[in-house]
Amino acid sequence: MKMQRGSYFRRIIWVGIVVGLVLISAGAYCGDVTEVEIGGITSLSGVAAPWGIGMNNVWQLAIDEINNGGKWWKKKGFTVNGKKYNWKLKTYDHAFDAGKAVSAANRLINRDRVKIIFAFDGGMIKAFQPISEKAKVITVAYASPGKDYINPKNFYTWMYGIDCMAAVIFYPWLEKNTDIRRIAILEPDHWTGHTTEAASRFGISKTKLEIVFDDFFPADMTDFYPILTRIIQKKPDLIDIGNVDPAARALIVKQARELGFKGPMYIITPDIANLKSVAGWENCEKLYFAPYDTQLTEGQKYVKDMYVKRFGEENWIGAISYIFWDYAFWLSEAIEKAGTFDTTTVCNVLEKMKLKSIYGEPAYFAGKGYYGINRMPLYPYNISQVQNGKLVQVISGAYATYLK
Amino acid sequence: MELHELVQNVVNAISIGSIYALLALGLTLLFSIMDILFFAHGAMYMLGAYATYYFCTKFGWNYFVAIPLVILLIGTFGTLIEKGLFRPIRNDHVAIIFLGIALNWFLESAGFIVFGLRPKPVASAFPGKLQFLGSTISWERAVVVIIGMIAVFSLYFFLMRSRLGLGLRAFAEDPEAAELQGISNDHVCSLGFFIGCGLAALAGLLVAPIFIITPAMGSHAVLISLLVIGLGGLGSIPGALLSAFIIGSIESFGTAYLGANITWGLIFIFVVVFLTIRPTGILGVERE
Repeated sequence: MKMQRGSYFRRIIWVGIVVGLVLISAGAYCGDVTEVEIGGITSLSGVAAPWGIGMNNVWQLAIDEINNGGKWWKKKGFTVNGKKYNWKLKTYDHAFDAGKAVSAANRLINRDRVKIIFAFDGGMIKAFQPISEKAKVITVAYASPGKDYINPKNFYTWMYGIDCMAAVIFYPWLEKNTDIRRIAILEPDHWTGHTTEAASRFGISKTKLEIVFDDFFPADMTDFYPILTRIIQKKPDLIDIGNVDPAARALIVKQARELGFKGPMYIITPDIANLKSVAGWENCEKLYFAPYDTQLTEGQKYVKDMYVKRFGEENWIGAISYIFWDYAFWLSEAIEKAGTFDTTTVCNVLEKMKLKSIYGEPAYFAGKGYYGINRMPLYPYNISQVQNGKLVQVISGAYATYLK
Repeated sequence: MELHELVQNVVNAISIGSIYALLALGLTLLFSIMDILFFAHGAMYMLGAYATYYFCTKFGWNYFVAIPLVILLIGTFGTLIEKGLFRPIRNDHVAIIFLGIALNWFLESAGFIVFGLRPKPVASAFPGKLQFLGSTISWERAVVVIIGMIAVFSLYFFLMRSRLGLGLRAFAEDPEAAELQGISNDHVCSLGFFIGCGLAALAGLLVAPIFIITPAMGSHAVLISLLVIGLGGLGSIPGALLSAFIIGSIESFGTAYLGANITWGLIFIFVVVFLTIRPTGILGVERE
């Protein structure tokens, strides 16, 4: 009986030791990786929700890639001074309301204590920028790049890609290589539309092309017959509908063809599937797409496959998706290199980094020539045209040299 | 201004006016019968368009087969909404407005989850275009004009000449007296919602091949509808028709000669000034 009791106690002690060791090691493991929140402010409801939800999905994919490791980010998490960190994305909806964007920024900065915010649309960013700049929070803006918020005074605000500034590549090429001379510009009447129009004007100002029409339309417009009637009367050779949202641009292409416009149009970040199904591929003949790679890079294929597998083909928002991938990696790398989360140091490191981009390499920050500060990533840029029903790359690996 | 430009702008005005009239028809009917502004009207329009997408594009059914099915489906859904959500608060007009707005937002947000982010197209059942005095209009728009007019006049004659329409009008005039005459308020409200939502679905169905289908399409539509029925006179079907064509004409000519943004500013100023001078709208009557 005594022996039995001794053996019983020994078993309990052994089990206790094993459980204790497991708990201690688990605790040590958990304590090893610290979760850091990263903010998102975008449009998760309303007219621009397809863009907002789509970009949030890509932010989440990038963050999961960093946390779990994968083909693009080959380790798990990121390390600062020997300590491992993971990201956690926290996104708020602004529903295209500047007041809500400010509330979201206040919550992210003052309550959630984030150091980085990914955000959508210049109007929203302009609204909360005084708060984010004062708090030294890095804001990565998906918006058309206006000089009034990308400038040396706004040290912590960064731009996504050069799509909106692609006009500086496109128009000089157009003048040199085609007979197109008369340009009509049509953009939606919101911040992004206005700054894209300014970028187009800037690109055209580097050429002898003539702007024969330049106007904005209410962002929720669906019937473009009246405005297209007016444009067609001006006899343009090309209609620039650069940053119109994917649904509206497909309608514009369809309705312009119905009204008899046969010339080319210029579109930034096209959703080809949407254009095909809404406008009809035959109506897309002669359209210019910037950027559109007839041959996707390995990174683009990787992201698209992951996205479609996780969120479904129905929710793929087209070429615009790629732009939201890179920054999470660049910032993680910059923080690792800086050895601190101090945003001033991180910005200084990031500005000088050689970047690995989903669009290809070399990639680096530029923009000083236009904004007075290097806050826009430059990478090889491609523009395609639909010729006889096929996408043909007409500009390959170009750099926006005017921005350097 | 050359003749073909003028004709094109007139054609655009008629096309836009017909679409706006169709959008506003169900909303003005519900207001005329039940005295409520049904803010989820836009969501019914959106669901009508999506139902058309699923029947025609996904299942490959004929567009003409889809027409009665879509109206029946969304009309029945409207009846269920009336029975489940609106009937318990029928007499509380403020609560009804908030419920309508909430329902519109809910259905719009649910739409992104259920239908996905990508806009949906519906292939045209009437391909090709019509040339007229140097102007162009697609056949699908011409069909909207024709069906829109048929819908407006059918509804008008239904209300004025049929027994059911008489019942609806009696209810609109005095619900208590109508009930004493054997007209069930519950049935009238169900019928009103069925027709109102069915008309929203018809609008969605007809514009599906012209525009593009997204879950957010209803919010803009309901705003335009409110503008139309406000100018036309709340509850007046002929007023809504007239107002739709006035707004369509200002939009068409204004956009062509002044610019899109300033035109919408002008439309709002016009409506505000008109309603300040004549609060009942063009053909509205003073209500108790």
